[in-house]
Amino acid sequence: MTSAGALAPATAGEDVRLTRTAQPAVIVIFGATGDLTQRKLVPGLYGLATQQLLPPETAVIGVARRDIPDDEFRAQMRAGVEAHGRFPIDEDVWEGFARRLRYLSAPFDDRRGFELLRAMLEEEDRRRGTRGNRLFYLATAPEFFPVIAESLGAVGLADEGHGTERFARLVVEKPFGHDLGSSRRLNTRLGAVFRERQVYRIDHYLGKETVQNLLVLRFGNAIFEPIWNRRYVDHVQITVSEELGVGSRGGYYDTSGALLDIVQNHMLQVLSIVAMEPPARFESRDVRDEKVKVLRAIEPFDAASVARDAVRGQYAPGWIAGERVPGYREEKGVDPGSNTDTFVAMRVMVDNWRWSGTPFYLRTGKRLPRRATEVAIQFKQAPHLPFASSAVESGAPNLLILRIQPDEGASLRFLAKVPGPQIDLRAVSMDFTYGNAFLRGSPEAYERLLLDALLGDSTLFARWDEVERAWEIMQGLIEIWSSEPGPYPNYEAGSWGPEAADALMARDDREWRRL
Amino acid sequence: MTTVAPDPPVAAWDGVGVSIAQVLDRLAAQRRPEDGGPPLNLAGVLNLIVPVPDAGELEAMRTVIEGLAGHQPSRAVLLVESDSGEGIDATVSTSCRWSGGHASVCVELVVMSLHGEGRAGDASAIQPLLRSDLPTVLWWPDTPDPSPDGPLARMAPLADRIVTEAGRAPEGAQAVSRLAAWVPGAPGAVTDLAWAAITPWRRLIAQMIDIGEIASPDSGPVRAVITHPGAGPTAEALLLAGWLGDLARDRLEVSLRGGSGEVAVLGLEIHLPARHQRIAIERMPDRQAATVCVTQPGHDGRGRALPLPAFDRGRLLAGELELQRRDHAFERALPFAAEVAHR
Repeated sequence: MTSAGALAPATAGEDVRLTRTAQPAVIVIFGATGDLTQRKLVPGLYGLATQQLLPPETAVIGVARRDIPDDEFRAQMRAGVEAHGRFPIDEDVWEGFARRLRYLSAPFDDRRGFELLRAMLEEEDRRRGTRGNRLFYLATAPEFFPVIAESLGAVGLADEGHGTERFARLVVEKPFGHDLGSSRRLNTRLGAVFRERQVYRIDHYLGKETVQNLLVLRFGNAIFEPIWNRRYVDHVQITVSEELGVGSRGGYYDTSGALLDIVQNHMLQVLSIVAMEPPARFESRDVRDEKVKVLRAIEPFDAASVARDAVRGQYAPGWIAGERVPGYREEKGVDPGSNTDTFVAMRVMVDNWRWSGTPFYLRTGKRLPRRATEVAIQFKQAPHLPFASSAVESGAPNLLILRIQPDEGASLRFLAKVPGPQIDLRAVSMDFTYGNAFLRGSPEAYERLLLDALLGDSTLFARWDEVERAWEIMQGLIEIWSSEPGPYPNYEAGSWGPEAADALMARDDREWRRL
Repeated sequence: MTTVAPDPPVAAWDGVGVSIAQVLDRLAAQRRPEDGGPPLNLAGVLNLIVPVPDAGELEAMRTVIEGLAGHQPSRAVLLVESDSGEGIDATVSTSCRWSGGHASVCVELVVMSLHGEGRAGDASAIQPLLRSDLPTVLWWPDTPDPSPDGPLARMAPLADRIVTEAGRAPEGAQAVSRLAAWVPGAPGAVTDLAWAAITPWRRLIAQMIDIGEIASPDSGPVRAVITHPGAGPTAEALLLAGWLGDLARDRLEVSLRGGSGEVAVLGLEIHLPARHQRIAIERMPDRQAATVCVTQPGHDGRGRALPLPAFDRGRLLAGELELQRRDHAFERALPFAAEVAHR
């Protein structure tokens, strides 16, 4: 028996019962009365508090223009947690959490408001011992991103000091610009105040359990990686479909569209995780280096590839889930002659040793028949089937499906013999569903990402070179589509998009998965 | 193969004026056991869409689907449409079985009533309820409705396979003609329960004589007489004629004649004069058997009783659900059957 004295003292990293603990900090949410704060951010923070993942000293200050007292802000946030939180309200936890929840009414372009904020932060440091650590979360309209960052810089709040351990981090929501030029200008302005390592560009898809599980599936198992390449994979389909229309976001969405809202950020992030080389370590720099290499292997769109490999759509009236719904141009806040895309399908080639010749097909849209986000890896057909032709007609290639939402999980399709006196093949699925395998629920993406930002772990955030390359890839498409009117509307709400999207696949003798 | 009634539904839920999202939530909730343990496994192998032509048929069709649980576990959506009222009403029930020590949900049954103008959105209401990555079968309990904007035209694109029931039409000739006209343009593989019903006949014929001889041009003319109940031919009798027509092509001389009885095909005679071969099959009343008499050179056959099962609707449907391939023999027989029907 080894004596206790012979063992080295355990650190928190080695203690299986202790999870990572962040430093105490003040979290400042700009845009505190907005939808995101109420639906995601405060419920996420409350979820962390419930799980003892937030140091008890941590304070939250909401900043917005509206003039409301602290108590009203707390009541609104409580309503948000009750409606959208993963955990029911525990009065003891809530009481402690709410006591550290404050509100500051200040216009984002008024320097005096930021001086008040600085005073509040210093007061919190004194009262709660938050040690000068700040996490600034920009949940505002994008035009305020640089304004807020510059104001923070002007009052000295972006400074981490020399030789100190205190941090000042800036979390930036999407959209990070609306094209290559605007994203570069935004980055330059943020970069004048915050260093790259202080900036956390959030893409909530990366906080989703299944997206992270994709990394585990690929790099934690020995059986997938050997076949994860052009020799065995026929093609990859990435789908983000929504049955909802634009709802109350018509005004914002009409300036954005599916390409900017979903493809340029979320879908390229997912694609880069599907296609990346194994990182040496699951650490921020290694993972992001590999992701950006994938993006560099994708040729930016030009006029020829736009015409050949990309399809855009906009929905007409139709039926969704048994209800008649209006067309996009009849939605509230949308220009009746709008040229905004609500559907995008494209073929992307990753020109590197692993993927050369294996297409990645992306499709996303609003008012599609069902909500689903998934990655489907379709493997090549078996080279030879030694069965009667009548038996294999129903044969289907192997398919690995990673469901990101809903029903997070994975399934593997393969052929099996139907019981009976003859050889008859049928595709069957081996399913893994998070809810079935693990009784504990998955954390909300924002919960995970807020914790990572507090911990200073930027692995699941987008680095500037990734974001810039994603814009470079899409820039040609953005320019052509914004200058030429689309053939709109060109798909009925409740259908799977325009016929041209099916033609894009049919040209390669493939078809979209029916979801 | 036998159909076995499942264990009683573990849970049922009735909702009036509901959304499809609520129905989906309910399906998920019914998989969660009351003791808070992990959700039950789903044992489904297919999605089944079933438009119910008349509310009075609902219970019978529901019983058929619940009877499939043993070997064709499914998520089934039964659709009842009504002119009156508005919105969607739904009943959700799940049945479970024990297998290997674990309970699995094997039938998830949604009965959805669409009222008023919402009927035009029937396909959009069904689609979110279908489980991804499972084949989808549409059981259309009638001859196809050729209307380009009718419910069949809306629902058929959701399905990989469509099972029709031409045998339920009062006039077999008209039903087969409509079926033959519709199948070539159908969006998925099609089969019909009347065709499934004559499988035991075709098997018996194939066991008694070499059907290669019927198909061989060297065999000369093939004369067939098919007896059906009543004055007009049944869809089953016509499809049997169509099958023989596909084998013998223009060498077939087929006649259909009426007789008295309950089942869709009463008897069959096939005569190959050039081969001196004759087979006569006559179904025995109230028995799952037929009297079969084969005459060929050197063998003057005497009649003997052989099994000729007549399957009920549930059993026929179960057989069709198991077959995931296109049925080329059916597709080839259909134009010949329609040709006979037109005579």
